[in-house]
Amino acid sequence: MDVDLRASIRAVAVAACVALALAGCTHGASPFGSRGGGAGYVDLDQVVQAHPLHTELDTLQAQITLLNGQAQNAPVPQTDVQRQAQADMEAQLAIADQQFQTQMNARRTYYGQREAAATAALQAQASGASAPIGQQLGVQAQKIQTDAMKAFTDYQKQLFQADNQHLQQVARQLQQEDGLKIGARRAQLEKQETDYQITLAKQSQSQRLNLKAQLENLNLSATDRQQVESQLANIETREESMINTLKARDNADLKTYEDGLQRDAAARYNAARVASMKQTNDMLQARQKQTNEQLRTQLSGIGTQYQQQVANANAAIAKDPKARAQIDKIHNENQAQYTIEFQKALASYQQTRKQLVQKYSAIAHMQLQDDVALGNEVQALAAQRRDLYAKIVAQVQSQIGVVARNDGLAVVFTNVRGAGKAVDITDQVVKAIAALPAAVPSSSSSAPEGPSSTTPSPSGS
Amino acid sequence: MHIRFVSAIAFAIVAAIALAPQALATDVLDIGFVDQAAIGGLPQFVAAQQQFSQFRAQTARDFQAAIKGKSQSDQQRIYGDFNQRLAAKQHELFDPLLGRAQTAIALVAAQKSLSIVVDKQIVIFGGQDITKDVLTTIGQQGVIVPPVQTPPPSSIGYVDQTQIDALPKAKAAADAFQAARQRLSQDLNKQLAGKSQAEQVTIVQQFNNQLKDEQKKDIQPLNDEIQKAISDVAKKKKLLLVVDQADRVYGGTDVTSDVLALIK
Repeated sequence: MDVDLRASIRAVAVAACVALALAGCTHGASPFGSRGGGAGYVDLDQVVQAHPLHTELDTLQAQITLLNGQAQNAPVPQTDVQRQAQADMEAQLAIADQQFQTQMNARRTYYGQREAAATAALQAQASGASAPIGQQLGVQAQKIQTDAMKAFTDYQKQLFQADNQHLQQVARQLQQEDGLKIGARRAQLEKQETDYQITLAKQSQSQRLNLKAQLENLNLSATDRQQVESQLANIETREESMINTLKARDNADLKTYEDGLQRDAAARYNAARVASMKQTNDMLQARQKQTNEQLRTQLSGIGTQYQQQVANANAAIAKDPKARAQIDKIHNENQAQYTIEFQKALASYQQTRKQLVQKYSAIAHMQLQDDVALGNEVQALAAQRRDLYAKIVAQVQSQIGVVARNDGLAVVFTNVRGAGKAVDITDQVVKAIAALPAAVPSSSSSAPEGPSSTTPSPSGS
Repeated sequence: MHIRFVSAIAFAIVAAIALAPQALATDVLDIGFVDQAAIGGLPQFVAAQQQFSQFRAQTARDFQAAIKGKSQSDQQRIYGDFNQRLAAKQHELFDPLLGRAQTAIALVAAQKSLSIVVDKQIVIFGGQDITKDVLTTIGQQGVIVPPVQTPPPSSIGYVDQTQIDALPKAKAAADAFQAARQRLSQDLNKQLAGKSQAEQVTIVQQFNNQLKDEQKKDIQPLNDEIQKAISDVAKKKKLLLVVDQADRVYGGTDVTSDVLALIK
């Protein structure tokens, strides 16, 4: 290696060291950790406080605190008249609120539907259809649903009719079976009764003949004749009584038998009814499932056609600036008209609330407070504060990114509890932020008083 | 030969310059962050939250019915029972979900060789956003297999504030500030009554200033002491910085005991 070469290498090596050092300077950090090894941290609260718009945040917060204080220190009615006036006022305010919400909901629906109809007509025009997109398909879908419902109802009726016929048949059969069984039992008992009658007659036959022979004797004294006749009558009475006892027992037996058969028949009928009902339900469920699947397939096909038509129309509109402009115009017109109506209705609603508060304050001889209006005002201010804070934080984050890149930091934390080798870039960011113009427009003076749920949008509900 | 050698060295210089910022960043490439709100927004978490809300509402109704006509001590006992029921339900619903999320975070962190994962809210610039990977991992079917290796030593520390708050001197400071705040709030309400709007604005400003003064008097000295202790520990352990444990999701270096030892 000659001297020139060595000198060149030395020069280049020095240059390399200088370059590295410069690189470190350019990025505000050294590779050996003197600038925190590429990590920084920032006190976000401090930076946000340095933002030109932070005073607006404070103002909004002060207004919120003030309104909350007013709400907490509302005058409390002392007398019955005052309490009644407050209750009446609150009831009237609630009615006014309800009317306002209903009115606005109706107008939102109206403008939403009007916009949807106008847009659909324009889409149809763009796709060359004669009717608004979806109208014909809607009719088709409705017909499919109606037909399916009718077929299902017919099937249901048919099954119920078959069920009725089957159960009537079961009832008739059970009745016949029971009739036959009861008849057989009755015949059996009657035969037993006849046999018993014969047995009794046979048993008393010789005594009866003997008594009858005595009666044929003409010499029989009147007293004896009366005695024999009495004995003969006793035999007949006794036999008749015994027969009657048997018949009564048989009748009771037959009644028990009949009752048992009827219970059995009712249970069998019920079992048949349950089985029939289950079978019918199973069949209906199966049919319903089948119908639903068919409907789903058919309606899905229609849905696909509808989506395709909408896509075609939208594609046609996308290529047609005139149509696009018309859709925007429809939307803007609807939005503008709704907003005018909303603002008008809101002003009237707020006026109504104020008048109600005044009216009932006069009745109560004290200043009553509209807590809902106060609450709405607090909510609106809080929303403004949130928006403003978010905008400030977004700007701050962007500036932190700039500072971090300039300093060669790979990561920047906030909310740190303590620092070691990491670099605190808060001051740098504060300076950068303080230099920003107060570009975010303030809206703290235009806090709307209306209910928060009444955002002026025709399509939003 | 001579020219080629010099050119090679010149190229090395250019490369050194080009690579310099990356060399700076090597220390902090192992820091990840995750959007915990996005995990909380997953359908299974939302469903569990809804279920828990319903259970809480029902429990509140049951509690009201249970304390009717009961003595003060019975009411307190019942309150304790119901709170336990709520806590048990919360564990039952959320523990499996949180466990799965934690395993997913550990797995993604291991795959990306991260030494710490923190909540997205505390990283303003840089760091590796692993939210998407974590959500994908949680959404996968079946069991998530946890990583074999533990996270590598991290240059980011974390401290458990709840342990610091439990120190007697911290409790005393918090109580003193709370009492002052209560006293000032009562005064504020009295002062606001019957005043005009302009007067009320001034009164509220005075209240805010008084509250700040109280905070400086009661809380600030201890806060300064704690922050100094944390910074001292960070420097001693050659850490980049220390975050709150509430913001740390996975990994990191726990310095709580060192900090407690310094401020006790």
